[in-house]
Amino acid sequence: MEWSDDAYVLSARAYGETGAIVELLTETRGRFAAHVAGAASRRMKPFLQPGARVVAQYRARTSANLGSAQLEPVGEGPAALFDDPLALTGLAAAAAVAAGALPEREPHPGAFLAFEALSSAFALPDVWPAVYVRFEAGLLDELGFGLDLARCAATGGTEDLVYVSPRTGRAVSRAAGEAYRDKLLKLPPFLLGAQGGLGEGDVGRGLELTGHFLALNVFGPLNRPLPPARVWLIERLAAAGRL
Amino acid sequence: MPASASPEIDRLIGLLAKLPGMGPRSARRAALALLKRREQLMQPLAEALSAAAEKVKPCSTCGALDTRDPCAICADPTRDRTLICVVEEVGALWAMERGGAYRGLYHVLGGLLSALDGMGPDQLRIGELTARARQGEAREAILALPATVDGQTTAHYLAERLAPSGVQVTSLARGVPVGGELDWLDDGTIAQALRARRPA
Repeated sequence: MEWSDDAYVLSARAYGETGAIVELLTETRGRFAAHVAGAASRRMKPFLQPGARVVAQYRARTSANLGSAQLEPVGEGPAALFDDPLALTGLAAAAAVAAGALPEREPHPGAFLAFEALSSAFALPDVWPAVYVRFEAGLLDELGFGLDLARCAATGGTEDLVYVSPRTGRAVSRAAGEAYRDKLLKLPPFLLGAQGGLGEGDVGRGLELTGHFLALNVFGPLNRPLPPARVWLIERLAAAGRL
Repeated sequence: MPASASPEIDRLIGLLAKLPGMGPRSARRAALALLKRREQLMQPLAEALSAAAEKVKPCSTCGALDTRDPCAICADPTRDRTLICVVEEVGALWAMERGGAYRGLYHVLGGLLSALDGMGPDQLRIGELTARARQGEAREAILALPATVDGQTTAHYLAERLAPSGVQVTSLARGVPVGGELDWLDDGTIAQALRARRPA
């Protein structure tokens, strides 16, 4: 089995004294693990970091084997975020959520594109938290648990959608949801489209929304909590007054 | 399969093979070398190992390894006590000492914050560091942590935690290493070096 693909490094764990088992989010093959020889070398360490963009050349004797990969860095990678503590936490959270949520060796090109968009957005401090929420919503979509925000689940209307059903993930209009407002999740307008705008508290509401469905549909069935990196991200955004 | 006829030798080989840089084959060679030079090498090594196992402990102040507590560095009156260099592990402390460019005190964290490995602030010696910054003569904390996602996340966290103590928090520069050629550097290092450029 042999292929070459663009990828993001999601994690790298030391294996033996000089190697590492690296988890990659590839463009066309989804999440893939590979052994990388010489990972402890001075040349390779800088880009064996979560969020680093690489070109991976993978080779395995059979498809069932854990193969080995040769990685070539593309661009500056996570080093560009070293001076931005919030973005660094966001990057770690995105890598941890993608690594925990995506099944191995299942193509999810949308997840790769969402990660790519988020990586580019980290340069825009006011924007990336909302893009992060969209990234998680995109992951849910890729995994078949996408939020259905096109019309109200109760009335079929497309106006004034402000709630989401915590059970079905479908949007609910203000009028239809008023009686159940304490039970429904709040829908931040920016998730409805680019023209939705970003108001105060919207990022927090968005993270609550995606976190609920990630826990319900993705991490819960695997008997795993949401990644600690995501919890840290929310804590740090809250401390910085950015939720 | 046993490597020799004797269980004692097998145990020695098995233990040596667990050391960094050693595998079963090199452990066999090392065991043989030790057995051949029993008086000159094996006995002194056994005594040194026994003494180190018995006497070497982490310093209660900085976390470095020494036979004394406080360690030789913390007890040295010629050290600049206004500086605390924060390092991940004892190996990094030894690297700093090898250079001889630094004459202040140290603080060994015992790891890095890592969301992936579930390493939180409570598992590191961060409380001890903030206590030292509040109570001691420290004026500056130098964060000598790895230029990795975990290393820099830890550095930002420490900077926040140390801010109330009034200690100036600095970190090591990132960029072109001495003897480094641009042609061989990764894009990230070159970009960092460019951002941290200074008047020539």
